[in-house]
Amino acid sequence: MINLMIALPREASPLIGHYRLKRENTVPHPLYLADRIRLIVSGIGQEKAARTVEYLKERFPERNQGWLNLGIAGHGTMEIGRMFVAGRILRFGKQEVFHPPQVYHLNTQISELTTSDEPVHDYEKNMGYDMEAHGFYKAACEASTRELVQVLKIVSDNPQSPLSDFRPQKATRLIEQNMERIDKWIEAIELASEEIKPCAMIDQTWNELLEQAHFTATRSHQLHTLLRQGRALGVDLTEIQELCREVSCPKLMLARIEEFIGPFRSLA
Amino acid sequence: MIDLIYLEKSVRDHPGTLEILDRFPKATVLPCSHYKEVFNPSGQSFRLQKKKPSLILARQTGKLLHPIPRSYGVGGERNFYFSHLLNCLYDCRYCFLQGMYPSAHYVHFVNYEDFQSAILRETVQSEDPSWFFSGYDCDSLALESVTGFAERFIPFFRKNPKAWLELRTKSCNLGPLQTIDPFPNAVIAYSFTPVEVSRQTEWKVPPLEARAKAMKKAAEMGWQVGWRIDPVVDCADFKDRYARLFDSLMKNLPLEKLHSVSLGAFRMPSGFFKKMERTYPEEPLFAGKLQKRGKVVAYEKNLEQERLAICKSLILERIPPEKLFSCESPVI
Repeated sequence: MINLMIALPREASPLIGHYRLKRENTVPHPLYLADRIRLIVSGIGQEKAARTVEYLKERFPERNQGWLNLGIAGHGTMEIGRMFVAGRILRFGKQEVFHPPQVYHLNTQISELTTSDEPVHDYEKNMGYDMEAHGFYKAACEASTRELVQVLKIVSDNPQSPLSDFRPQKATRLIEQNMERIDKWIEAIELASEEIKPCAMIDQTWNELLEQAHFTATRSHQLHTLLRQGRALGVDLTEIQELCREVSCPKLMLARIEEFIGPFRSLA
Repeated sequence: MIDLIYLEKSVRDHPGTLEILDRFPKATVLPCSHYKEVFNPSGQSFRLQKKKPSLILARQTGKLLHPIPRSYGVGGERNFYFSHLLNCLYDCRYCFLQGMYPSAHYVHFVNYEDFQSAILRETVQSEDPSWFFSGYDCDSLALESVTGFAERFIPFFRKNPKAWLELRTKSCNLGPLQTIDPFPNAVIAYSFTPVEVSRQTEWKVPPLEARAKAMKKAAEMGWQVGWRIDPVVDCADFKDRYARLFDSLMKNLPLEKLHSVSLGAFRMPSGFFKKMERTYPEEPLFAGKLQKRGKVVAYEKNLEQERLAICKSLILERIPPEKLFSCESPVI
């Protein structure tokens, strides 16, 4: 599952169409959903960005989902329409700096990005400018490992074509033009999120076995460890469930599982 | 290979930095005020970063040499390790680095001159030889094309015969050994596990056969070489696999060039082990016959002793006892 946080409806509309997202009538933030994607429109500014992330974290608290802030940005060097990923996120007047780890082989240009509370008209070389990323990143990386939290921006203004010349309807076109590459990012983040997700089968088996007997906290933890180890050793968890059928003594259950997986414990 | 370099401001103009930046002209360079700003934040995934680590160029400050216990040495009384690099090109599932560091980025300390001064200062403290181990927090040779470490340190140790260097590696890169005549106070130490274990646990590592060949080539060139049978990993068909390993390493090796063999069972500080298990919950190695002993996770005592005894006996059938060193784990 990936959460897309977009500041403006004009930036969001191509994504809503492309992924066939359905609007949920929620307040205070418009939320659009599909099977694997949530898109939320935050409004402009980092406080709104942070509040929106907090809202999603509270509603969907599962850890290590993907988080992507996507939108337009100014840039001191890059040409209009170029997409870049933020490798370093600063905030005007603040010390706190973030370095989203760049682990994806997607050939996207990496840039510094400064988040500002006001539109920026003086562009520094090699620097991007937006109004949400810092607030977004700070809030989202509390809910997911940092590799899964990324900021993608498409250059909308630069020294040759400054913000004063920018027409908001261009935002939609800039996103549309980069849709294929955005899609690759979404896919890559989702795959990474899947890779580090806990195994659902272990948790399911664990919950079912816990219902069979009264486990202390320690034994419950031991049971989970044994199931995880059993799976790592290539043991079929349904065999373990079968083995423990009708066993109502936790100690006996743990002993049976240990005895069953013991012979597999040497490396193959 | 490297497309993102973080540059600590203290080494922005260091010659070592400029050389590396020249080597990677296409890489994006991002500044940082200190390497820990990138490397240390909590909530990073070592596993995901291992897919594409970035390079951080920094200055190592504070203590540059760290004493190591005599039982971890290979015959010397005064033993130190130093780290010009944190993290490794390879991805061995038994390696403590994945439990020790919050990040898999490579941190390269470019201030070689400070390491060399510290080594000289330590060397003159005693009449006895001092040993300096370079492959604890990284592989000594695997990232040579980035760091130029061996190229700079091999000639340095050659000029300082009281300072002994161990380069520990799984790399087949012989380049830096070919540009200088071998000298006695250096040992090129190669880490090995049986091929079946290697295939299951040593990711991105050159095949065992290639590494054995590189080790023999280094010996033929006149370098002293070492075998590092550490960690010993419990596995099926244990005795036969380790016997085959030692046979393959012995074949065509000029024995007089084998400086030392060190032996140690798989063991890990329990905090590191916990993190490694969380990072790779599906890893069979971590579901082995392990137990927590004091602050360390290691094989069950009897199993550990039995496995080490088998290896010891197999090794002593092939090499003289004075070349064998046991890395005793500090466990109860």
